Amino acid sequence: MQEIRAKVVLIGSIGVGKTSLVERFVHQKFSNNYLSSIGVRVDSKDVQLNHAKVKLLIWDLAGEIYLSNQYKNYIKGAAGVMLVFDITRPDTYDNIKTVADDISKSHPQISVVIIANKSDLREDPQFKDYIQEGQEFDFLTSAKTGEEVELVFEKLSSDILQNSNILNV
Amino acid sequence: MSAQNDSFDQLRLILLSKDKEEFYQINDDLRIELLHEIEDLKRQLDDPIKFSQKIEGARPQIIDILGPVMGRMIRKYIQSEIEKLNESIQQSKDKFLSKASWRYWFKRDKEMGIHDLESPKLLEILLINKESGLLVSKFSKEQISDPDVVAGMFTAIKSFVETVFDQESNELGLIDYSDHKILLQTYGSYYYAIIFTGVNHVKFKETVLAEVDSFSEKNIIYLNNGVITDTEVTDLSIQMENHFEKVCKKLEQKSY
Repeated sequence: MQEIRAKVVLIGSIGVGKTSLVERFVHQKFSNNYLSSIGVRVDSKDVQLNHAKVKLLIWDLAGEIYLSNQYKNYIKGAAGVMLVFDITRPDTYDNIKTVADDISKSHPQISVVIIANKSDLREDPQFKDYIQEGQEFDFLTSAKTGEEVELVFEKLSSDILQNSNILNV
Repeated sequence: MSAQNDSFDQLRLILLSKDKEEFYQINDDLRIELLHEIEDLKRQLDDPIKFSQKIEGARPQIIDILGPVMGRMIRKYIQSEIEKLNESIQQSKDKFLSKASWRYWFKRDKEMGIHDLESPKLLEILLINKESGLLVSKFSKEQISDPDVVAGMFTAIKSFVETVFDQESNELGLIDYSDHKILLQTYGSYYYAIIFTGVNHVKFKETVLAEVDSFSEKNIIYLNNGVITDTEVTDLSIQMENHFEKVCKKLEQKSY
């Protein structure tokens, strides 16, 4: 069975739920203090696909790193990038598409997915007015309910595997 | 060089925040007394001859004051000062402190409860892809938990420091945490994280880095490539284990 290891980076504005997505997906090993001190927390999780195993090293970047454009230093050597926004806060979608296109252009080997998070709030009357039409995304997730969370990581792992001839260390 | 020192100082501040908190919990009077002693020690350490004479004369008082409250921070401070003193002595080739004197000093340390001020001990060497932070290969004397994640975090810390201090040409070379030290040495697309405990002895560091150089030269084909196949990774891991197992034995035979 083929086995590869790959770096995946989660980026997005402050409070969009990146850390919650990782916590939902992996059994967290390291404290969140890393996020406030150095702006990054790394976790790992094995994803079992049909004929291969992908060990994901997931880099959860603090929102400030995304907003200050420093994320470019952290996506070096990545096989996948997850761009996350909050469906109840339209401002967190601003620039997401542009950033995704930029990454795909400058790092064609990186698989990029856009994630609309907090799907559990889509029916909440309090936020209904904020949810906008026409936003382009690949997955609608909820870290709270777990909706599509596994699916995102599996799909990304599958994409990474297809490119593994150049992505594996 | 000064900017690099500043960077290390700032990183040390971040990593030592817990120690600082513990320190400030110490009774105020005792803390003032300790600070006087530490300041005095600091002055004396600039002149090794005076320092050794002073230590000899004030031994009972030092033991009385420092002994009961010998926490991690003070241990670290003394360890750091010993390292500086050691380096300075080595550089000047001043023979006034014989090996016997050092042994005597270390004996006193143990009586004072500073059990961790021991010879450096190599624990682990991780070979890590510089950009992705993916672990390529490792040598383990004492297994650390989840080396893949640790390799990622080292890379994140390295990126963080190099980004914050905007040091494109310089790279983070040392992480100092509690009794553990991590030397970071870059070769092409990869870097080594060399984890050890004990005193950061110059000769020990030189020996380990020379061995890392030698290993890298033998495997330069792999280390210059950004891509290594699974077979090459396996081959590299075996070679790394063999090479550094011998190095460990060599280091154990030497006394630092």
